[in-house]
Amino acid sequence: MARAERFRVNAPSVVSDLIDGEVVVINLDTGDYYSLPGVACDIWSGVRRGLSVGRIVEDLVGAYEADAATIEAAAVEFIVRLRAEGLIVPDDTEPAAEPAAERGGGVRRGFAPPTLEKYDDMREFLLVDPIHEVDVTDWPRVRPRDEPG
Amino acid sequence: MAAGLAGLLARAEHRAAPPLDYAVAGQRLRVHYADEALREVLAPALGHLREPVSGHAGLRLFVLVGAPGASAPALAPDARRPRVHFAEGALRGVLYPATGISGLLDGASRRAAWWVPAPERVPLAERSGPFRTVLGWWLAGHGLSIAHAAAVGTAGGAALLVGRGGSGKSVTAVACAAAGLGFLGDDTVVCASDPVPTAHCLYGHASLHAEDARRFPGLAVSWSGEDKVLVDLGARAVRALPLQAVLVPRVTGQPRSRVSPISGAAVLRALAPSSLLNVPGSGAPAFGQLAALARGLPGYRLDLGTDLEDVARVVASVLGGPRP
Repeated sequence: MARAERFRVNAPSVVSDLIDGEVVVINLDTGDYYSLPGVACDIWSGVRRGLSVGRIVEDLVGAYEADAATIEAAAVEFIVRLRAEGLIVPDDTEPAAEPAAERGGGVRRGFAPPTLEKYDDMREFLLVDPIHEVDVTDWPRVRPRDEPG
Repeated sequence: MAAGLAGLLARAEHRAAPPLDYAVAGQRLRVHYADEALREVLAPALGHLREPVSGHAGLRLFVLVGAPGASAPALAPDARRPRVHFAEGALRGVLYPATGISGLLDGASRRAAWWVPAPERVPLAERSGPFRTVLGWWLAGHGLSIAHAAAVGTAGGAALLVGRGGSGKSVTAVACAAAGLGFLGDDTVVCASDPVPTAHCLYGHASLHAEDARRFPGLAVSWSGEDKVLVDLGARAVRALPLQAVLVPRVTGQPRSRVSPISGAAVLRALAPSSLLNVPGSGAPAFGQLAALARGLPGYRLDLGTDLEDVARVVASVLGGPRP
């Protein structure tokens, strides 16, 4: 992945919000939703701000205690995962000038590889119609294939 | 397409029956049921909101037997999709192919239509929460969002109960209503986040599994399905209360109930996905409102015990204030 590459949130299919230091992301097309804590939250925030991959890595290197190669490998792997989940897409628009990365301004935190906690329990909710596609008396459930409709 | 759908609404209006008027979260709703049998099936869930509308209604909703027909190709059944919906300008439409129920909202003319194939085949979920999708779209235009949640309250305020089906929302809401708390919904609640978080009651019925309903001998069953029943809680309904907390219930099997704090992110994960998927096309604005609720209200895990009176006590203790 090129360091100059930039991504954007795959709106309007994907919505997200930062709350209590954790980003909650929902893919409205699939029903899957995600929790992005810690380093993952920082990477998501960088994507939302339109930063390049290289700049996101630089910011992480400035904020966390770990060697740059370790941080870059983990960040790139995470961004690839976000893209594979359909949460972000390449941003080919003209980039705005990026401010220089801030370094050494605060206490660097211990680094843990970013994690993407995925919840897919809404798939059944989405695949059946959540309001009406039921056996006329029940809350939504997927009708077994061999059950008459 | 817009002309065809506008024509549909005009024809629906031409066939309009005498209306029933409602006050929904401070908005005026006028519903024309074109069929008496349909009115008997769908009107009771909104009965507690009946109120004469003076002047223009905020929305005129025409409830019809049948289907939109060939003039609405955007609402043609698609076997690959469990529901079909579209948005074009101020027009929004939805079709639920499995039941043939469909709806259309024209935000510009403040008219909507809701088609049901046959009154005798209305599913329980539609009886307990009719017209949900078009009402959700309409209310979104007034800064309100529909939460997939239950809500109950005391004079101190309301608690939103969130979680997917089977988490215990309905039993908790009914247990609290039976114990004297105000009822604001067991599955759908209209929420406002501005100026203060507020829960508005939309539907006055709760649906319970039959075995759960037997735990409330003092409550009358208004309609029975195969394994679920409707309980009419309209007399215990409260129009609106300020929200004080969000509770995320889970069934424990232990006798006593208890609450423990959880993060706003955990609240949002429990609240937002099913709420957004429930009203197709609600998207980022609704998510922003739900996130504001999750950020601004204390959240608690509610470990549900088997003692239903204790459930109500624990919920009331979170809210404070006398029971309304």
